[in-house]
Amino acid sequence: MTFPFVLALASAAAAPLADARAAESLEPVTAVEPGEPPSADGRFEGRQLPAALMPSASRFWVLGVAVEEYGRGTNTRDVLYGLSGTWRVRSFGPNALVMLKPGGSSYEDTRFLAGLGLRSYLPIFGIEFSYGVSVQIEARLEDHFWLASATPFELGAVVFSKGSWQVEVFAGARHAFAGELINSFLLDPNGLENQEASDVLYRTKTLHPWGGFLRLVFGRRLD
Amino acid sequence: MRRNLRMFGILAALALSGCTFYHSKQALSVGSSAPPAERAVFVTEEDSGLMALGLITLNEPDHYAVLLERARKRNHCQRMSHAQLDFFTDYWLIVAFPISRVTLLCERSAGADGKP
Repeated sequence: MTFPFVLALASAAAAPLADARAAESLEPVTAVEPGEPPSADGRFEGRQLPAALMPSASRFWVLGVAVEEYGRGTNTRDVLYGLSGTWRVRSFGPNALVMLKPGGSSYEDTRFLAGLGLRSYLPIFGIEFSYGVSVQIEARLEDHFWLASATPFELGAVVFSKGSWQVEVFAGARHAFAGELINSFLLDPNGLENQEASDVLYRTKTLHPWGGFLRLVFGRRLD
Repeated sequence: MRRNLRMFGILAALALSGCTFYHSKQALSVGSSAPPAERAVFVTEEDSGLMALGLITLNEPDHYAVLLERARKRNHCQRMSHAQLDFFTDYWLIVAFPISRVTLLCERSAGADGKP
């Protein structure tokens, strides 16, 4: 019996404070300059929004699906699929990439790649070109090792831009600089420190550290 | 049988995940809209939001007033009319993009004719 009474008292005591807060929250935070009045014939004339309410046109995200063909030395080529995200701040674009190689019957037969990078964009004749650098780490479960690589150059271009669509193509080269065998029973119960995996790692990291890639990103622009 | 079911499941998932689902289409101005001038052209402005797995909204597209103002600035419109707002969602596998699009008739100022 007493609990609802106490609750009602507390509510009554808190009401003036809540009203004050509500009134405070209704205060305009931005001075809105009066624009053109709405036209009587249903047309929009003049400015529709004060500048303070317009989102910045120089900062936006581009998120999308990425397809990458990757080759290294004499090894077979791989096609990776994943997600790509770029935060455009004026001419710069910090970016991230998460990809995997589909196929195989289970996760032991796949590859995962994650990367972070920075690009610089420059419009030339109406087309935005980019130059970027990045680092990647791969879990090559099918080969039983992990590999870290750096991309000292990546050239790109926005090949299609309409509405919120943005299709970009990138080409570049990666250099492997670190990697070790993944000795786990989950990947290969019978092959810890196995010689074949060591040979592939040696070839990939030491004999053919450079690899080229071509990536296509189908993105949407988020202002 | 099991393989057929699996194939059917994969095909159904691909078909559903690559679709654009229609949401809504509405006029932003009604009634007594006067006919636009001869120099009027159709222009479009859109913005995208972001959903994870087509279920969780992470970012919504801009308000239509932002799109109107952006269309006015980009196309040098002196007067805009017959605005139509479309809202739909593009499903791309594990991400989806809710799109807000404004299509309108733009009457450019006399000095801005021919500009994009």
